[in-house]
Amino acid sequence: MGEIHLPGLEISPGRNLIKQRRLPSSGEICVYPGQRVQHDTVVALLNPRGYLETVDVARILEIPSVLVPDALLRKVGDRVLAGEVIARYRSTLGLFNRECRAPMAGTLERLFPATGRVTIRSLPVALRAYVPGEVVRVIPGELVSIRLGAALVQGIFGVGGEGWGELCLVGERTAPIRSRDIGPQHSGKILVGGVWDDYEALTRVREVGAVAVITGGLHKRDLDRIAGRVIGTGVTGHEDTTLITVLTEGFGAIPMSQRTYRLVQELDGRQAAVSGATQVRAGVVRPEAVIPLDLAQDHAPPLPGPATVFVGTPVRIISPRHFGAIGTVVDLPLQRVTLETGSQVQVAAVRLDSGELVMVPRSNLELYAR
Amino acid sequence: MSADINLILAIDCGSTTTKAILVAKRDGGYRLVDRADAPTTVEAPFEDVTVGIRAAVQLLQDSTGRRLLGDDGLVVPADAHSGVDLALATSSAGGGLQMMVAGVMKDLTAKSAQRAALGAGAVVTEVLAIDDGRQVHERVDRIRRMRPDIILLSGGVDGGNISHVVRMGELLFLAGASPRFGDQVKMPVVFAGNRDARTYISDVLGKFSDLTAVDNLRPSMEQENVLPASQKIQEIFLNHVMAHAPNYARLASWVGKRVMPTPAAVGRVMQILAQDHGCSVLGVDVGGATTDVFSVLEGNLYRTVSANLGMSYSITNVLAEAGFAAVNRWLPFAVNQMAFEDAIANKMVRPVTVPETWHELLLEQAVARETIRLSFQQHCELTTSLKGVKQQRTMGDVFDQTPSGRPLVDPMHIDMIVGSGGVLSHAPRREQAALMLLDAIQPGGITQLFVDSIFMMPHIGLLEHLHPRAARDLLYHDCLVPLGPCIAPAGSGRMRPDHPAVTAKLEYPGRAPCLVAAMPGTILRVPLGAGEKAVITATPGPGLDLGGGRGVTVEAEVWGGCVGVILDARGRPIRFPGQELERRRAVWEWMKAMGATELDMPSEV
Repeated sequence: MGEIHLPGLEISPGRNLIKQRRLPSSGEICVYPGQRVQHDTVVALLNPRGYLETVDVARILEIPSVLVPDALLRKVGDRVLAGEVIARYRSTLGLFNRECRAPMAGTLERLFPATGRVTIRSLPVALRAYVPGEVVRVIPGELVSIRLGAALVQGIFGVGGEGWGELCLVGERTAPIRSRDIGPQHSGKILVGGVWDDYEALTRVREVGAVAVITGGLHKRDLDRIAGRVIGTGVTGHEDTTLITVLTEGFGAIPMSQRTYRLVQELDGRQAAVSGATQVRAGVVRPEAVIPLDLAQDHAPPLPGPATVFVGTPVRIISPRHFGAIGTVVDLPLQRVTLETGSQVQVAAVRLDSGELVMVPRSNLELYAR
Repeated sequence: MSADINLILAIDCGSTTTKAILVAKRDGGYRLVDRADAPTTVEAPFEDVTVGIRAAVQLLQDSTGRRLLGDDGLVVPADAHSGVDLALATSSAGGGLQMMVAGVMKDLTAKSAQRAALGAGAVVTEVLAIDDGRQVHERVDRIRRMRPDIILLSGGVDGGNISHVVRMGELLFLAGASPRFGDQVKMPVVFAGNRDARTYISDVLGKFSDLTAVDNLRPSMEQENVLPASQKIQEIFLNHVMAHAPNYARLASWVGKRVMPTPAAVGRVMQILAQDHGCSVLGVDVGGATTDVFSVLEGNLYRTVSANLGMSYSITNVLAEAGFAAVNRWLPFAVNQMAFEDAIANKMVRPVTVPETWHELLLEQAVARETIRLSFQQHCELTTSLKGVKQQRTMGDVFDQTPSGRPLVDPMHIDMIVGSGGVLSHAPRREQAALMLLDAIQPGGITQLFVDSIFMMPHIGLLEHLHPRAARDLLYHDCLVPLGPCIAPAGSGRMRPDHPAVTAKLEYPGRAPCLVAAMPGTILRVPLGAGEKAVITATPGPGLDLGGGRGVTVEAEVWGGCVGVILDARGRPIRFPGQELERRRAVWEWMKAMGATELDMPSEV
């Protein structure tokens, strides 16, 4: 008889939560301890003064500096985008046509007529609160901690950055979602539930301007299309996508677990913050939905206890053969068992809720809080 | 110390799994008693590496009946019923040792710095150089975002220009980089550049960082001296980095500070093998997040790490880089591409799951082939002779355009291949491991194949520093599984379908010789068990090459293994039949010929 330690995602109906907002590098903190913040409050600025980049327009266009002011398509003080054409030269007969592009996004700060150069200053990056709550800690230049009471749904994988909106159930847990199910009423909302086997429905979600989709699973290729790239490494969050996506179970057209669905069903219509950022390697980051709640200050935080499995622990199977099946560990035999593959592994005997008894490699289980 | 050691506990904390082995002195030698695995626990909700270690050691305790765990740690030293005499650990968990290296020229000193960091067992997350084509602000931004464990700064030959390397130092100062672990800790920086620049570098970086200077790793253009920098990196890893990782301080106290980065330990084993057998060695360690490739050529160890190629955390990236067609070609059955992509992505998000069915196993092994192939390709591209070396040419060299920076690894001249890592060591049949190695690396000529029995190489590499005899006992009796020699002719385009691609005569001591021939596109196996030796005289088919030149007969003494002598006549590169059903049938027949399966051919084939 033994015990095993297994990972598990947090699905919490309500607890006090501290969200840390950390700048990737040193910047400027804009809030103070005790301050109340909303989702969109700017709590810190990265690179507040911006970088300065010099662009030698005269050299790039191969013209004398005196012609540069006329060649400029943007004036001093204008915002420019990375790669945007900021100056163009056409010779009299149209034989020569040259362009000068902005090397980065920012503000066209200055023109040096004598040399034909311009300077572009990058814009500061604003870090927003993401969740409403009270600022409880500030590390100057680095970090802000925000406390709130909230329900928390952690996903297994996601894409896109952060957003917020109203939770909106779009269908039953196992109902296939089609494009006709999506309409203008879903604009600005976080759509939850259903099985998304049809990419047309996801296209429609983007068209109507929904903030996010939270579902059990999507096909990998559909998630790639949402992300705008083939996802290779399990590090996401910086995709140039308008649709944040959170998968709670995995890849494939699979429904959300009953436990997760029941929780979001109860919270339908509430405001929520959602993040698709994921890091499936050192320094694990999981996508999530944070649904602020009014909790008593002394609300006991049901943080995961020692994630140890004994006989009697409820578990969920995460290997393809019985994916998603829930049961209870009835034995943890010491002897290794030979699988169909010929491998000998340590297993757990699991009595499924259906009554069936299955032997599952211990690595193919995850904790399940009933 | 060595004489008093009877029981040894060795632990390796991998990115996915923590492995513990118990070793005992028996009949005058050291032997493996048992091993146990448990998921690694450096991430939330545990964030404590010792939780996974306790779980693995607990399993060892249960299976051996010997008490190994105390109230606070391991029981050391041993008495009659409990404890061990020596405990040690290697680790690559939590991303391993992550380093940024900086040099003046990316192909010269930055490349040497990269080799020094890799040799120390690091994952190099960023290479900076004056000529890397980036703007200053881009470099500053990169440095700030990367948060490495250690920075290695190099540049300039001794007595040469100092301004460029000092400029790189200024860049590090401007960025104000902070280390990954420990917000209040100064960034460890190792300076291994022009010795004349030390004072200037100290002025620039001394206050901001924890600066250490070691011998220049490129004292002259013709010389590379990476050892002092590599040793210093390992020392800092132990004393600084480990002290701030999730509860590694506790682990270090449990094992008396005997901790080493896993890849450094595996590299040491490759060196032992090359030294003991006087041959070139290629080692592949397929991990969950990364794949390490080692080669020992003329006594020099070269290591590369493919940071985003692995069998769990990075498995989706393997599929993205190799492409579905490249993976699919190794499968003897049809798969639905979308379902396959989903299954691979699910392995990424749940990295500790193991295949339960035959289909799942073959899918995983197909991806493993591509993981090894891509990593080996990167290794060949990065393992080159020194660039910038002045070459004296004579009239006789007019037609020899061998440049500096030429590849050093030649698949036609690898004497020994050693596979390690879960997918190879835990393959249900050793024949499957052998076939994965052959398919992925495609060595030509005569090559001995080995596999790490239960992924013990990290333990042995560290043990070699503390107890060389125990390390060698374990390596040759319990760790290294001989698979057998492979004889493979290169030049698939010249194979004649009606003519054997290779014929071989095997001469055994005390037995009649055996003559065999392998037709093009086939694999043939001749039994030669572990511990047996034979002399092979092999002749390639017309136009083909076994390493001695086209059509030239080669002779070698080989050792047997659990697979036997393999005549691989599939050509180099391996040729697949063009028609889909024929391809599947060929893949199945190769598996059968190797003994990788005993199942009947699937009906769809």
